[in-house]
Amino acid sequence: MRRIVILALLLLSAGVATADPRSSAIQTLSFARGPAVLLAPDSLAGAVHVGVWYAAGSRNDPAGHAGLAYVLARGALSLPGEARVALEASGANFDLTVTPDVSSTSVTLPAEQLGAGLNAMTAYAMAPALNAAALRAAIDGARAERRRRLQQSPLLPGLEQVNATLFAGHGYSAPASGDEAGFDAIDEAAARADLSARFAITRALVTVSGRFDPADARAILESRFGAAQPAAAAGAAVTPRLGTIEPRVDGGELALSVTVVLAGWRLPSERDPDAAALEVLGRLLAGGVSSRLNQSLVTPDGSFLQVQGNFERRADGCLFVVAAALKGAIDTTAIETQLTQAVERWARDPISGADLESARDAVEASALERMQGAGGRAEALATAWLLDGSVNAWEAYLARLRSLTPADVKRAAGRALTESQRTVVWTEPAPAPGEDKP
Amino acid sequence: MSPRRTLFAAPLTGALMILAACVLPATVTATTPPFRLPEPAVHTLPNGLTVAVFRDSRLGLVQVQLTVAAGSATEGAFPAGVSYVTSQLIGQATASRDLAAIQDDVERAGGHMAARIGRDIGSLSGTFLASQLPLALDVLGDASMHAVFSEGDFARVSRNARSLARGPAGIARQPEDRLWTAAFGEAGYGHAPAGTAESLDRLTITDVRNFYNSRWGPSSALLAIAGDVQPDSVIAWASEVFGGWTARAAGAATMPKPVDVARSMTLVHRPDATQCEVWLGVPGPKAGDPDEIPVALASQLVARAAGLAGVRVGQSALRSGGFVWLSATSRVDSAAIVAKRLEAAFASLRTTPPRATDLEPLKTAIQSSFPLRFESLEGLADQWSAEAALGMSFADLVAFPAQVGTVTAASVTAAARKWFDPAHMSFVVAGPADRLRAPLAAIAPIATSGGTDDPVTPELEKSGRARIARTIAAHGSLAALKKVRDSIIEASTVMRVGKTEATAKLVQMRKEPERMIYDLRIEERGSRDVLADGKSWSSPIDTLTKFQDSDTTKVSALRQGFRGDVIHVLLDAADPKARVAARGTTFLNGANHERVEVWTAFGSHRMMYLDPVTHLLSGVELQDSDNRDGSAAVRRWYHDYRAVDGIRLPFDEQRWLGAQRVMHLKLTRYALNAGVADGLFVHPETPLPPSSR
Repeated sequence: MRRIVILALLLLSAGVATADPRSSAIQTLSFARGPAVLLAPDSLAGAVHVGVWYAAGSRNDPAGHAGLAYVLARGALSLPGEARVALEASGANFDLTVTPDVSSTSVTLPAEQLGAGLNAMTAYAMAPALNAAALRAAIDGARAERRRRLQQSPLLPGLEQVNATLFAGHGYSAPASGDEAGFDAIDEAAARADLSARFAITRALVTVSGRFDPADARAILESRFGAAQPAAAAGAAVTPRLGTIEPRVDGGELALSVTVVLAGWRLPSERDPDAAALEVLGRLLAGGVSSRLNQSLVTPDGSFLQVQGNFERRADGCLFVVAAALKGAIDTTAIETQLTQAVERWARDPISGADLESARDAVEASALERMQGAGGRAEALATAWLLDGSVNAWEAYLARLRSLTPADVKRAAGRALTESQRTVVWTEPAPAPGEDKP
Repeated sequence: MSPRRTLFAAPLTGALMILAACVLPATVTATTPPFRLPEPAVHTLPNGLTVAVFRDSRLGLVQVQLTVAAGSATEGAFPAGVSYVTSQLIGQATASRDLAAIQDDVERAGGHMAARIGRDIGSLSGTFLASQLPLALDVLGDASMHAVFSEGDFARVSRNARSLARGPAGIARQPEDRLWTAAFGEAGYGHAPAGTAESLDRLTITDVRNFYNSRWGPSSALLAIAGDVQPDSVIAWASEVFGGWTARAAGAATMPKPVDVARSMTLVHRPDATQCEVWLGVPGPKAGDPDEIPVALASQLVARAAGLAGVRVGQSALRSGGFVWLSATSRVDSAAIVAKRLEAAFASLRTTPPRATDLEPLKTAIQSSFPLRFESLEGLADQWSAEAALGMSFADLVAFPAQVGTVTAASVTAAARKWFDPAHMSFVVAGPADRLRAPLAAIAPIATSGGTDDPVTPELEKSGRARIARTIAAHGSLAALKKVRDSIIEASTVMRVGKTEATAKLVQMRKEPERMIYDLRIEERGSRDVLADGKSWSSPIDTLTKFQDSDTTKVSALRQGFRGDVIHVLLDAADPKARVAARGTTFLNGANHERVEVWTAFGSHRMMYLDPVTHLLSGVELQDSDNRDGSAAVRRWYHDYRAVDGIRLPFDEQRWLGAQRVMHLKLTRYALNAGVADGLFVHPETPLPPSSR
């Protein structure tokens, strides 16, 4: 360790976290009959990325139509036809993204293809096509994808139950990729109506990031949409008031051979000043094989076989969920107490400086790594613009992250990781085929 | 590893050539800022390690990649797969850190770390916060320089490798592995990068230790560091961390020499396949050869010239050689036609220069997509490392797009004429070999590997049945075997339990039709498994009223166990409904054996080993029953044959799982037709009949 310290001195001038030097070059534009536009040039980038983003996800899927944004993304947002084939031939890679908060269609392509890519993407975004066959194929594809995910992740129904309980009455209560009830309810009329509402070109954000000349991009866009104006701040999304939480729910059977109990906490919005502290605490508690939850709960003589957890950042309310596999005789009261206290104790016990540093670094590294490519940077900036009303929001989040103290984490935990914000979902193993339920 | 010596960062679709016609013209002409790679600061340490530092201050991250000449082509006489298994063990433990400590430090450095191999090189790399580079280099250096290989880690990693080799992924990559072997022979680039099931069975922890000690050293190693760092400081620091690294053992890799391969056809037998995979490969220029880029372009043009839907193309320019290959899927009855189409595509470029309308858009696409591979710090470090490992410089890397620009139709044709030689083409076709053999033999001489993928020809089947008949005669007679209605085996056994051995008493009672009791007693404890009427149940041996019904997996295992004794192995092989094939001779377990491959009427697949002198069954490889995870060969070897009621049966049996003996049985009793009572096979839930014992 001594050697590390000495050598670290050699690096004093490097590795000091600073603001992204590319941020000053970001431009935001708006068009009277077109989308908002965010230009994020980066002269060192290898590629250029063109994305079309919408503030549409499960968060605001129409009531009774869970998964509609996801289905529309599959059925109507992808660039079709010869333009797509030609861009792929030049080395372009297309992508579709649907999260609980945003949907997007995008392409990463050689910088020389900026004009072709930007023209093709914006032209299609002005009039995305949807017909009955495409809608049916999208729904069938979404169903197949859901079946695959359920098969691969036996825990998924339990996690969905946690979401449904914590966010009852809100779009987050349903999976972003939809469920069977939602798929059954989607018809062409509802799909077309939603396509022209949430996915209208005037509600879209077009991002261009990577290696390009902003003047070129602006000229291309103006040739299609008319004169550009500086974009006004979009304004942050309004966090809705959420209802009370059912403290304990029967999660039914999971296709697992052990009993699993899940505990979830509904946390403040990612815009909340405490969100960064809670994400760091989530990482400390549940990240890696030597997570604090595993260390404190999984013992040779105890009831816990394995503990996993995850923190999810979202616009209207973040989520921390823990799933514990159990063994032996199960005292549900004792297990609930052990599990929830292992999380909520951090409202009373401050974490150490070393633990904070380690978890904070891991969170920061993950965030920066996602930002490396032109596409990752576009996603961070677009999400910040659409949901936080400012392209600087992600840097502000990083700044909060870097300045966290153990006291910040303790205060945030005391505010958010409480009984009133928590639900516990009990599941039981499904009997094997041919086996009678006892 | 994603070497620079491929043309595209990601595979292109077959639509390449319509680029010029269909890319939408922008109404505004864009002026693309030029792409500039950050130039590295390079320094070579006295121990041979070359350090390259790329400064990129856009984000507070750093990528570290250590590359050594420890790829699959450097395996030499080691079993294929040793480089892969070694790479997967790097980062598990060091002389001063266990796995938890390594993971904790990687987490503290805000990063992650992974090891990979290619044909020429192996690497250990990670992404970390730039501010934590000191810790990151310390742990990465420790993991690579001071790796420790425990028996437990080796067992786990090699078991996973064997499972992969025998699983769907391993089966899927067989044709490509066979193609490289056909083109480069059994050594060097012919080694399957992840090994084969057979080579991994032979692999020992000593092999891994010796491979690591001789290959993972500083000589010719490369350390690439890219990110938000100060180059001078980092080089000083890397010198501190890696300067004391020395080679642990002599015997560094000798790079493979080119081999002069003859045209050949290899069949990968997939008896139930309804479609074939057709592969065609030809040696190409090595990295840095003047023909490298023309051949790379030619391979793309050949893929298009094949005119087949879904044709796939690959091209590698390596340190000591190169390879170009095409593959396509076809109907079984069209395999020969597809093989000829692929060959014709190669041939067409030898005689007809590509049209400018085909070549120029291809060059443009390659040039413009070149920067995409540098989108991340990992891409930058990886590309430089791949280039430097081939003996190329940073200038060579930068010059790649310009070199593509110099390629002409004439240079493509000249390169094709030189390299796409029909006399050196290797074909591999995966499908039902017995249907493919005749039509494909007309294209190239069919090479046989002697493995179980070989077809079953009428001659081989006849020979196999003759060997079986001779063996059954040696054991007694088929009639005598068929008269056995029940049997009892009692044995004292030595079993491997984890790392230790335990003694046990074993009793097996079999009764037709398909009923069996399997008792195993270790000291005072024991268990009984019963198979009857297609069901099975288990109970502690002393309290048989407490029972548990078995699942279908256990039932299946017991059913196969019922047919796993010598009597049933012989009867199953003699069954006219079984497929058999003679498979030559082999040296195993210290002796020569004749081999007969058997697919029984009950769906099992076995390799029987027959004593060439006594003709008795000397062993059998079961590819079903005990081999529950499918990860290692299960073999039984028989000795001490004695006559029991006119049938010669073994009183000594050893069971091996891969390279480890898991059970040794010494029989104390072998009784035939002793009158095993029906009552023993009554399910405990049904009213028990009066005891018959």
